[in-house]
Amino acid sequence: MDRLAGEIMEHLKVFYGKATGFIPGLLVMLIIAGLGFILASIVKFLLRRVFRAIKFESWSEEVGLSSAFRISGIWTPPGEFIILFTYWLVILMFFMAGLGSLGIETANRLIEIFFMYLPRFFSALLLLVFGYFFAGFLARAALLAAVNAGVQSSRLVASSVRLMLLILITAMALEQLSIAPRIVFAAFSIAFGAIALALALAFGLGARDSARELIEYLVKRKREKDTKDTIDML
Amino acid sequence: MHQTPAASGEAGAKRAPQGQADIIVGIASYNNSKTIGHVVNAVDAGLGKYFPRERSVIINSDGGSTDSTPDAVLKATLDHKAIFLPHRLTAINRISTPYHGIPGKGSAFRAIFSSALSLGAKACCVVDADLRSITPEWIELLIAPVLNEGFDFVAPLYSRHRYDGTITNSIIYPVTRALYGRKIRQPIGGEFGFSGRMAGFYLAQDVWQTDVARFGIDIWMTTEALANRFKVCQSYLGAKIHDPKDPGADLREMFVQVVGSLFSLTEKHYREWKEIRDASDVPTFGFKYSVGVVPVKADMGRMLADFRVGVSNLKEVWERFIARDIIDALEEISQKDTHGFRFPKALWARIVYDFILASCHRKLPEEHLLKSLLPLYFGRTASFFLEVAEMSDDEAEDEVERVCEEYERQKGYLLERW
Repeated sequence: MDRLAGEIMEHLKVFYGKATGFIPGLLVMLIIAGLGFILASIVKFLLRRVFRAIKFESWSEEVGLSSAFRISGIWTPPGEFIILFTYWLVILMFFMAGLGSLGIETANRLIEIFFMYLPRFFSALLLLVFGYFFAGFLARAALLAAVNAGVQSSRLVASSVRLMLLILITAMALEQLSIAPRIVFAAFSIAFGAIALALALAFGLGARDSARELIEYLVKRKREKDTKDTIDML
Repeated sequence: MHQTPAASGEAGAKRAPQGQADIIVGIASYNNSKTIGHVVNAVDAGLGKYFPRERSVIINSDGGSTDSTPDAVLKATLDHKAIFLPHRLTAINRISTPYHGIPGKGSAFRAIFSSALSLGAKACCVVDADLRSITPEWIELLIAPVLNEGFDFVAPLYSRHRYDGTITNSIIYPVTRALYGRKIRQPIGGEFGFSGRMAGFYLAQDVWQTDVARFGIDIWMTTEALANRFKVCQSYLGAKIHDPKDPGADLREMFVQVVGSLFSLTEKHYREWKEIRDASDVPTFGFKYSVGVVPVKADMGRMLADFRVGVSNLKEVWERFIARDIIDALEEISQKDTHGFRFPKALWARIVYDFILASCHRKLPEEHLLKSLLPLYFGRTASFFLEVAEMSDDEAEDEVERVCEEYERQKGYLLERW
């Protein structure tokens, strides 16, 4: 009985020893996480003030960011989404930094991977955001150019431009994240090539008459312009 | 820079114009060797006939012509006796100089303003180099209001064919009149008279890297004169006949530059136009007479096709700043056949104001916004042509008047949403 009690005591001592070694680390982690929470709240507060001051939501509405979010199924306003994203990111970063103070080997490796991956994640995110707007801008430019050239199916032209650019941008973002780069490259090449081929076939075969009409129309217009522009627009 | 020996001698050929002048006549040119000689002779005769005592300089601001336009300016000769001109007391100097900066009419004018300022000119005018109908009287009508009556800015007034000047009739004149309350009929006429003070004002503005340096110069000059309360008037010059537009020039680009300048000026001068309610006449000089104008042919089918393509493809673009019911109305009228096609002036005025608001609120990049207005402009122009097809030019002018009244009536809409 005494032996059993002695062994229990021994184990308890070991546990106590480990606990006393672990608890300070845990406390440090909690303190760091707490600091992260405070800092995240400050950042959230400041961002809200800044966004309100610069009228970020109405700007988002104007440039189409809000509608882009809605199309993507995100109903939170863009400003609020960015604030919440930043808030949780700060908390997560502090939490991960706090995990390191526990001195667990696996946790340390996880933290290392997390922080190494962070720049790639951000560059991919930036690529997607700016790429989305760039694709929208170029698609609209293509739409207007086609409309002003008298092309009946101008929207199809614009949609094709947007689709191709979005595929290109997504492939670039995935490449940046190092997610199956070979598969992404192959898939992108196939998809891009297929779209280009499909468009060429659609235009050349499916819309043979439209293609002929369009070319005839453009040639006629060019001739008319070269002959004499009869309307003095000014 | 080339000068006639009379100007300041061969030694002055590489220097800026020096000395003093009372009158400056500027001619902006680019490959106009065929017509510029006639313009220079008309200017020369006008200065000789109406301003024989004033020290005058003709300045040709050239955009790098490759057809010896500057030579044509310097070599143009006029037999003064044949038009009963007395011997001048002072020589009329001619200067042909290339301008610098963005290629365009605005940059050419900038060089003329600069010369006017450095020569201390009291009165100036600018005329196009491709004019075929210019007479010596044009110089009197553009200069005398400044020199003798104390006006700062003289706009031209022409007799034009009812199909001519469609940007002016549908947008520029009605908007300028509704906003600034002055009935300047040809705000982008191309020929203007202005005082030395006005030239100094123009030169001091920082706009020479914008569309003002190109085709936006005309509307900019008129608007700045109106918004800054300079003394303005207009002079009746008769018919304006000039070379057909350069086939290589993109008229759509011209539309974007002119209307884009109008929009940005509207935003800039909000404080000046917001209180103005009614439009008043401006003093008009010159003897109004009946004049035959060159008929303008219009390709109605092409304009209507452009309008219909725009309506079927640009709804999503317009939805950002045009109300749904307006877009529905556009869709409805785009279904009509050519004979029954009508684009109501009230709808048109409302749309132009929506575009001005969209430009001010940055709903779209400016160029995209203006290019999306083009199909609507073609639609309205086609409708106007159909409306006035059976009318005389005077009756068509009354129709333009009604368009202006519609813009004035709806000005409150623009103000409420500014």
